[in-house]
This record gives sequence, structure tokens and C-alpha cells, in this order.
Amino acid sequence: MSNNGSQPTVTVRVQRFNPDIDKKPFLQEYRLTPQRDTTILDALHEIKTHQDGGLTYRRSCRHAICGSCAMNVNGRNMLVCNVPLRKHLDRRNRVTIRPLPYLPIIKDLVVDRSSFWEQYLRIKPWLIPPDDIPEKEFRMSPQEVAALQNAEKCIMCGACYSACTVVATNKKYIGPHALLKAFMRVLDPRDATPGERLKEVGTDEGAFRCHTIFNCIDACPKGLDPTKAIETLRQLAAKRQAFEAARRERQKSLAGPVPVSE
Amino acid sequence: MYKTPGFISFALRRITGIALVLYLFMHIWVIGSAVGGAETFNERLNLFQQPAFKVAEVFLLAAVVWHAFDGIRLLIVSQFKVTDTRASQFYAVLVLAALVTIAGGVPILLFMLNGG
Amino acid sequence: MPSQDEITHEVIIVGAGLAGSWAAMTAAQEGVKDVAVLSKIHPLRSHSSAAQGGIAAALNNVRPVADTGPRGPLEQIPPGDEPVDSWELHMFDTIKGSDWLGDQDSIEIMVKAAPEIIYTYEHMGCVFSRTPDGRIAQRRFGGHSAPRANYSADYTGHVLLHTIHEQALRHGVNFYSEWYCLDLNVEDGVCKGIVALEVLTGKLHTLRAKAVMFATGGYGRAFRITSNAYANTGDGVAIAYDAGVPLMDMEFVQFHPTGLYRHGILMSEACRGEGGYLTNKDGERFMERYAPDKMELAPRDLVSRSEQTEIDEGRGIGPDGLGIHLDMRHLGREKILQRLPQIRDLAIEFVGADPIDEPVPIQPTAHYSMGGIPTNADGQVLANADGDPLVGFYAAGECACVSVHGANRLGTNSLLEASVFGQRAGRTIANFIQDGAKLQPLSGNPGERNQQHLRALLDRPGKENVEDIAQELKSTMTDNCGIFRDAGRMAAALEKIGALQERFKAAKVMDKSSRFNTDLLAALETSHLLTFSEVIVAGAQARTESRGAHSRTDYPKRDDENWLKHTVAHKGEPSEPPILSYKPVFIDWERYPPQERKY
Repeated sequence: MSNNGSQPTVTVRVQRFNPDIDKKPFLQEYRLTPQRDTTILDALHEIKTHQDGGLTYRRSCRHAICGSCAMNVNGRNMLVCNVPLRKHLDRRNRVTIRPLPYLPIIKDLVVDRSSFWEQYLRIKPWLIPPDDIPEKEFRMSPQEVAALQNAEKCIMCGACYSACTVVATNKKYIGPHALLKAFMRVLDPRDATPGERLKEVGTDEGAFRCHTIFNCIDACPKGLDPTKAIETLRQLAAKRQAFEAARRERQKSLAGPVPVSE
Repeated sequence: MYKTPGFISFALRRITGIALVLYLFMHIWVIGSAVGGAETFNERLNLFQQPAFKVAEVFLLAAVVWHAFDGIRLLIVSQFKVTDTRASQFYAVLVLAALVTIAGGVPILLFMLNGG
Repeated sequence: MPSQDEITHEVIIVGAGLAGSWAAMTAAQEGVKDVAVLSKIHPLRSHSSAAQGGIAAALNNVRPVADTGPRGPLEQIPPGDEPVDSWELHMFDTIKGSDWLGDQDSIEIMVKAAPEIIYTYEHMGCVFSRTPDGRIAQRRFGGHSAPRANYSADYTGHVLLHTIHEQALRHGVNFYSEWYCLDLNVEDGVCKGIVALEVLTGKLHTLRAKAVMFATGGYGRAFRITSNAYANTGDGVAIAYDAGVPLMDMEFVQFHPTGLYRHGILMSEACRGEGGYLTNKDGERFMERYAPDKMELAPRDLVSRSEQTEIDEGRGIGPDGLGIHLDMRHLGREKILQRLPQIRDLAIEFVGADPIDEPVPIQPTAHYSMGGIPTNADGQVLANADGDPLVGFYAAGECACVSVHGANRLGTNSLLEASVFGQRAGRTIANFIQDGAKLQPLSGNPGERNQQHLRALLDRPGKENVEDIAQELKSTMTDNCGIFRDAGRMAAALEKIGALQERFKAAKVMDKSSRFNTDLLAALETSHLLTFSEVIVAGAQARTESRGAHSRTDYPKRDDENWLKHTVAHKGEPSEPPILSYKPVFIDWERYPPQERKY
């Protein structure tokens, strides 16, 4: 008989809660025999489709680009679609899955992200270009793209927001996700409003509320660094006017070739 | 709470910060009594020579030292945007603080044990 | 379930990916005040974000370095130098890629609009990879004779989606996030609205609008190995079909050559565009035998068939011999980290192979649906093979069939299609409304009808497992209507689908609650899979030729004399097969007459 790589039976403990029915959240245990490469999402899918259809969670792409499936596994936030189940088993072959912390629970592993999206909208995530738009593309050098520190990779999954102690204790804090997005727009040479943006986020509800706890970096499934972005925003906010002047200068040559570095 | 070295560092910062503020009040209470003359001052000062307070002094030293080193760490991190050695930073501060606390705490405890 | 109510908007768009968001933003820009977009998942979760390699346009920013061959390096074109690309070339590549089934007038519109759309994305703040002098970077892609894939590392779809979503928000578009469209109201050739389920509460809503647009995406989840998200269950296509709207060219399903082995997760064509090789178990670059000129950069249907042939003839890799190697080691560490970071992460996470050090096991994966709801180039849905438009109903993106991809789509043309035709549909809708379109009164009570349907689904005791039915469907579609087809297997598939539809009547929904019931959604989605799968197989069975992605071992040749036409399928009587009719292809016989398709 060939070995298809299956593992011993594991226990998947999932936090359940339906506010319409349950008084408070509780942990429910399911048993499952996974394959070697079964991801945590695969496990949830198997449980939902063959054991308990009521187990509810969000998911879509299953390859870490849509951002739906961020949850708390054994106390840590992560996407569950690209992590092997076997890597997160404790010594008793158990894994504990809870919804993202600090957010109101809609049902089981589905949380209410209204505050998350409100903060995203608040910092105006869209580019605000200058009035002078060239016929072809704005010229942006590879170095200027690199200066964004991969912020464009952010999939808005919420793992960082929901890991942040400041978010947990302060309802008004903008949050690492929105600050990272704001950072991306502030540093984008095509944005004509870095001054306004810095005024909006360079406050004690924004970049100055961060306590450098670093949970966001630990949680990010894309390896992004919101703390570094926030620290940059702090430094830029202190030199706002100089930065605005530099941006105005840069925007004079957005239609022409950038100088090629030696 | 989401438990990471970063969170523990934050929590300790808050706790030591509050402890230091409380200490400050006590300190002013003691030192300020100098206004009332040498006797009052010495009375108050002697209150805090008891062994319990000597041990507390070691904790105070730990709090001051940890808070200071963590503060310096934060200054460095903010200025130079050092975000990739997060857990190491935390442990480094802990170790440094521990060393200085021991270096300073041992004399305090010896002083206490030798009857002041 | 809680009772329903009625909501009205000027425009309702179902689907918040590129096509839906472009239509919404454009309509808003043109002055339509009340634009609503429904999405069964949050807009930023739309599958447009999964596109990786690039979006096509003949920008002429980049050219091959002279005398370095077809796999050599690329360099930026100095200002004033000869262009290497043109919309005419892009058009020819697309027509040839479509195996001459694409409507050439629509293709011309699309390729001509391409540069403008890319520049618009860029002006809207989209982050692209850049040439040294700051222009948008381009790479080679399969089936394209010039490097015209404009890219952002290997997550182009992701940056495009976020950009257009932000802009739609900026223009005041209302997003109904996690509202699931259940039904389309079409009465007497006029579309009047939809019925939708608010997933959060389980409440049904009847939504009326002057114009309804579907941008609901593709249907890869009908197959076992697919690059598609769980969400891609072709709901819009099935719902439209059930409402009497025809579907076109459904049999043309693209299998992407490089999905991760056993998972089907997309490994962008850019892997090959940047120079990657495909090798079999003997380490041979077998594409030499199938497409000596273009090799790994032949169009996807050809490469997938080549891979499948290698696998069928015993030269596949992996413990079950069903895989092929994608070898990128020679690209070097820096290029992979710079240009293909996401696919490297995926390969490591899912199959434990680092492309820098070892070949990655891949296999063909169901990827794109060329077929869908037929439209003209303005996004209006057609009611029949004569091309008469329905009033008030529009479609764009992967769920639509214009047709610009014909029998096979070239990579990077889908992001382009969704953007261009989404925008065009938005304009058409705006004109329709501003010309005085009226909100139509409903005659029946579609809300009540749908309420009863859901009630019936939830209440019946049932003994069949929904997931098992879905898995059996996927198996039969993959094995019997996959890359290689023949009459016998397709007949078996149709029979199996019929049996599964019967079994579905006893399918059980385990979750009975109203709140966020994704078990109910899964059941509805599975019923949709069964609905349109039948149309796919029926069209494939009827088409006795091989063209593009539709490849039959019993009819291996392309037959222009009899089959240079689109399949149009209408829903038949209950338990009757789909009613097939045929629509001519628009061909410019002087400029682009059909030729033999060789690479």
C-alpha cells in the first residue's frame, strides 16, 4: 500500500459563536486525518463540507492574494490558506483557530471589519495627481518604486490591524494598514498632496500613536513592514514643508525621463 | 492581548513608567521634608532604610534601568528604522538591564545585610 | 429567513472586479448619480487580484536587445528610435491566438484602446515596474510577437484591482459588500433588476434599476485542478442562463499550462516570459517538438496540450506522473527575486520547491472561461444569435463573451478586456440612463419566488452531500471534457451531469441559520456549476472540430468551412438539453483572413 503522506489524526479546535444563538464564544473540537500538504484552510474546508456545515469562515483565492482568510491560529494572526496544518500542531496534535482578535464577531471566524475599512477610506487611498497630466505615463524611476518598500503588495487582509495593541486599546487609531497605504501615497512622486496627507496621519491618532510594538510586522503574511513606514511618516511629518517643496520640484519633471543612475 | 516580545516591552514600559512616577512622588515627599529641618528629614529617610525598602530599591533600579535602556532602544529604532531584529532588541535590553541591576543591586543588598 | 424589501438604484452592477469597477467608475464619471455595485465577497477579494503576469498594450517602451535571439534580454527603446510593436501586430496576435474565432471588429477596438487604458491606470496611481528611464516596464508573453505585457513584478492584477477600487470609491460608488445575487429579472426582453441575498443577515432584497450589469467572472471551479478562487462558480452565467439569456462559446475553457502540481495555483506565464523552460521526466525541453518557433511562449492551449500529451505518453514527473517541470534556475537569483517574487513564495509554500534552486512541479490547470454571456462591443447583452440586444442588461469581463478571445485567450489580454469593455459598458449605461431610461415595474413577485426556493433548499431533509456532488462534477468535467475530448467521454459527462442534477434535488444544507450562511451559498453555487457545465459539454459535443482550447481526438482538425461560428446556447425545456444556435464571426477577409495556426 503506497504512503500518500497522510498524518495521524489531529484535533482542530475552532472558536464558534453565533450571536443569534449562543450566549458567548466557545471552542468546538473536530477530528481530521490530513495529508502531508493539507493547509489549515483545506482542513476547515473538509470539516465544513463533511462534518459541520455551520462552521463559518471567509475564503476565496486560497493562494494568499485576496486577503479573505486572515485568522488567529494558536495565538498568532495569519492567512490560513498558505500554511501547512502540520506546522501548527502542538505536542498533542492540536491546532486552535480563533477569529482575528479585537474585532466584533459576526459569526464563528467571520469578524466585522467596519472600523478597518473606515480607517482605510479616511486616509484617502487613491492617488491625487497634479493638474498637469502627460499624454503617456508619469515617469517614476525604479528607485522611487523601490522606496515604496513593497507597500503596494498589501492585500488588506487585516492581520496587522487586528494584532496591534494600540488598535485594541484605542478606537481612533488609524492603524498599520492605513498608515502603510498613506506612506505609499506620500512617497509616490505622482501624488500632489503629501502635505495634506502628512497633516492627516502625522497626528496622535496616526503615526504618533504607534508604540513600536511590532506585532504588525510579525503578523503580515506578505512580509511587509508597517512600523518602518510609520516611522518614516513621523520623520517626514516633522519636515513637512521641506518635503512638500521637494515634491513640487519633482513634479516639474514627471513627464520627462528620470535621470538614469550610474 | 496579542502576546509578543513587542507587547511585553510595551507593557513593561507602561508599568515601569507608572512605578517611576509613583516613586517620584515618594521621593519628593522624602526630600521635600528637608524644608522642615534635619530631624524631619532624617525621620523620613530612615523610614525607607528598612530591609523591605532596600529590596524595593533594587526593583526600582531595575525599573529605572530597564525603562532607560528601552527608551534608548526606541530612540534608535525610530531614528534608524531598525525593524528586523525585533525579538533580539527586546532580549538585548533585558540582558543589559539585568546586568546593570545586578551590578547596582548587589551593593544595595549587601548594605542591607550588613545592617545598614 | 427574514422577509424581503425593495431597493432601487439607477444602475446595479454585480461583481466588483476590474470590469465591474471600471463600469461603475465610468458611469459615475459620466454623471450617473446613483451607482451600486454588489459583490458576494468584499470587492478587494475579487479574483482580478489573482492575475499575475501583466496587461497587454503596444506601448513600445521596450525591445529585444539586437542579436540576442527570442529569449535574449530586453532594453528600453531610446526616444526617437523605431517602434517594435503596434496595435495592428497586437490585433493579429490576438486573432491568431483566438484561432480565428475572435470577432475582429471587437478585437480592433480592444487593442486600439489598450495604451490609453494602461496610461489611465498609471495616472490613477497604479504602481508598475519601471524601465531605467522611468517608463512602464514590459515583458514577453505567450503568443505575443513583441514584448507588450506591462507589469508590476508578478502581481499586476492585484495592483490594478486596488487602483480601480480606490478610484471607484473616490467617485462615490456604493459598494454592497457580501451581497449574493440570486436571480435576474428579465421580462419581455427587458431587464428590470435582480434579487439578492444579504449574506450577513440572510435577508432577501429585490433590487430594481434602470440598468443591470453582470461582471461576475469566470467558472473554473467546475474543474478539479483550477487556478480559480473558491468564489469562481460562474453564478452570473448560470443565473442569466436560467433567466433566458443565452450563453456563447461555453465549450472554450482555457487550461493554463503552469498551475502548481496538485494544487492548480497559478504560476504566471511570466515565468516563461522571463525565460523559464518546460521539461519532462527526461529533462527534455519538449516544446521543441510541438512549437519549434515559439517554444514555451506558444499560446496556452497549445502548451497545455503539449504537456498533456507528454503526460499521457508517460513522460510526466511526480509520483503519479501527472506533472511537468518548470525550470527557472537559469534565470538567476536576482531576476527571480525582483520580477517573480510572488510565484517563488507560492512554489516554496505549496510544493516546497525554491525556483532558484530546483525545477518547480506544475500541471495544466483550468484557468479562464472564454465563453460567457454574449455582448456586443458596447457591453450590451445579446438575446440571440442574430445579435439583438436585450434592453437594460449589460455584461463585461470574464463572464462576458464579446468575443475578443475566440477559441483561446492570450495571456495579458484578460486584464485588458475587463478594463476596456468594463469602461465601455459604463459609458453605454450612462448614455442609456441619460437618454431617459425608466425604472420598469415588476409584474411577478421575484422576491417571493426566491424566498420559497431558499426555504425549500434549507428545509428539505436531504441525504446527499453538496461537496461530494461538486467533487464528482469536477472529476467528470476534468476527465471527460478537459484538455482532450471525444464523443464517448462527453456523452458520459452529460449523463453524469444529469445524474448529479437529479441527486442535487436531495442535497442537504447543514447550516440552517440566517446569519452569514455560507453553507447555503455553497449549495447555490454548486447548483450553478451543474447548470453551466451542461452547456459546456453540450457545446463541446456539438462542435465536431478542434479549434483553440477545444481539442477533440476524434475531430483533430480545424474546420473553417463548417465551424467558423460561435455557439449560442439557450436553456431548453426542463430535462431537455440546451438549444444550440450559431452566430457568425466578424472577419475582415482582406486584412486578417483565416490562416493555419502554427507557432
